[in-house]
Amino acid sequence: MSESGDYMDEMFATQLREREVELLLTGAPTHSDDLADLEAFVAALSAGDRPPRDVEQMATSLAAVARSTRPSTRRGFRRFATLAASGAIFVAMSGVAMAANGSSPGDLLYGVDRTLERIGIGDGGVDERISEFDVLISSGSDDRAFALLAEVIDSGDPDEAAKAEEHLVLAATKSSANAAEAQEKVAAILTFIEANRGHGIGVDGRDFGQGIAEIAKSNDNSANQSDSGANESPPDDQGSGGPPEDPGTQGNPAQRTDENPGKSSGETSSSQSNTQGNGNQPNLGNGQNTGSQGTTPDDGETVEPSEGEGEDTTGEVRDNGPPENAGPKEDKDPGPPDHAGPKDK
Amino acid sequence: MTSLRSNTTQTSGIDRIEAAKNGVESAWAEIYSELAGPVVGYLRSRGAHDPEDLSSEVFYQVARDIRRFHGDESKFRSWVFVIAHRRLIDERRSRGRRPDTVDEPVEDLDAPVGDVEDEVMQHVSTQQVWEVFRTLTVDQQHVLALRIVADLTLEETATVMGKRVGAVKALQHRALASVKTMIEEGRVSL
Repeated sequence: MSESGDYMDEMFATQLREREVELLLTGAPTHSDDLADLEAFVAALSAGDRPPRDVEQMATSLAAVARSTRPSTRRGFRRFATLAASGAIFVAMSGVAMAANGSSPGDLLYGVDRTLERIGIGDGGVDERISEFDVLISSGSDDRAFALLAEVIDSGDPDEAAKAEEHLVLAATKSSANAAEAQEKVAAILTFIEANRGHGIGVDGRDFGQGIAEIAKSNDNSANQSDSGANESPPDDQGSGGPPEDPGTQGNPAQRTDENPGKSSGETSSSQSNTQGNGNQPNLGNGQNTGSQGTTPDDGETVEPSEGEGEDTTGEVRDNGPPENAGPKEDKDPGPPDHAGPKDK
Repeated sequence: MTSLRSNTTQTSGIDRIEAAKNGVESAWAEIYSELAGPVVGYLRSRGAHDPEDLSSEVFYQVARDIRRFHGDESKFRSWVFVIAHRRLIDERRSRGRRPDTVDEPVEDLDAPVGDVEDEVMQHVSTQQVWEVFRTLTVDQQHVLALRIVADLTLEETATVMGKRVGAVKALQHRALASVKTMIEEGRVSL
C-alpha cells in the first residue's frame, strides 16, 4: 500500500476511535474490545445522583425569584456614602476603627463596626453581612438578622442585593416545616422586597427587616389560617393576604415610587393585590405570568457562555474571589471527597 | 415533556427558556428536574462539601440571572454548569475561611433495602472508580465530570472549561488512556 494509503488508514482509525470514545462517554455500547473495560468505569461515574426531590417546591421558588429580579437604579445612597466616607476617613485611621472591624453581633464594638461600614469604612460586604445574619439567626435575634440583610438589599448594589435576597430565600426555605410553608414564605418575602425595595428603610434598615422577619415567622402564627395566602400576612398587615406594609412608609405614600412598574411578582398575586390599596405600587399585583415581565426591557446584555477562557462567561456570574481563580481554570483541585461516588448506587 | 438534551427542537427549548424568564413554574419544574441531578453529580464529583445545598444555590442564581441569558438550550446547559463551577470555587474559598464542620453521614430512609452483599460489592466498586478518578489531573477530572457526570456534549464541555474542542478531545483521550492503563495494571478491578 502506498504511503498516502497508510495515512488514510491512520486517519480513518483516528476518526473511528473518536466516534467510539464519544459512544463510550455517552454510555452507549462501543462494540470495541479495546474500550470494553472502560465501559464499567464510565457506567459507574454516570450512575449519577437520584432524581431531585421537591421539584414542585423548588420550581415555585425559582419561578418567584425569576419574576422578582430587576436591576437596581438607586445611586443616591452610594453618592452619600462616598461623601460621608471622604469626610470621615480620619476615623478609619484610628485604632477603634481597626479594632471594631471584624467584630461580630453581640461584641462591644459591633455597633461601631456597623456605623463605620455604613459610611463606607471597613465594609466587609455582603459576605460579612451573611455571616452575621447566620450568627444572629442562631442566637434567636431574627429581627436584627433580617434587618441586616434588608439593609444590603436596599443598599443600591444590585449584586450584593441579589446575593442577600438569595440567602434570605434559602433561609426561609430551610426554616420551613413543609413545602407549602416554604413556598408561601419565599413568595411573601420576595413580594415584600419587591414592593418595598428602596423605600422606608430606617437608619439601620430595621423597618424593612422587621417586615421580612414577620413574614419569615408568620407561619408560626398562622398555621390555622386558610391556604389562600392569608398566612403570608404578619399580624399588622392591613389586608387579609398581602405582604406586610413597611411601618416606616405607611401613611407616607409620596415616598413610594415604584422603580420598575413593569415587573410582576406573579406567584404572590393574591397578596400583592392588597398592596395596591395604597395606590403606590400600581403594577405589583398583576398575578402570575401576566406578561408584564416579558415586555420589560432587558439590560441589553447578551450572555454568551462561549466567551473567552477564564472569563466570567455569563457576564453575570458573580465571583467574589481573587481574579487568579476566577475562571473555569483552576490550579488546585482537592478532587472528589471520599464520599464522592454517586450515592451508593 | 421536552428535554434539554438533543432531542429538543431548538425552538421549543428557547420557548422554555423564555417561559422560565417569565417565571412560569412548569418551565422551572422541567429545567430543575432535568438538570438538578447532573448538577449535584457534577458538584459531588468535583469535591463539593455539600453538593445538594450548593446545587440549590446554583439554581437560585440561575433563576436570578436568567433574564440576562440569551441563547439556546445547549448554551443554557453550559451556562448552568459555568455557574455551578463558580459556586464551587466560592464554596472552596468560603470553606477556607470558615472552620469546617463534621459531616454526619446521611441515611436515605426512602432507599429500598436490597441485598447487603450486592450493596457492599457495589459500594467497593464505586469507591474504586472514584479512587481512580482522583488520580487523574485536575483538567482530566473536570472533562470527565462534565462529559460523563453532567452529560454535556463535547462543545458544551469546551464552553464551560473555556477551552477549544480539540483541547477537550485530547484531555478526554488522555484521561481514558490513564484509566485503561490502571485497569490493565490491575490497580482497579471493575
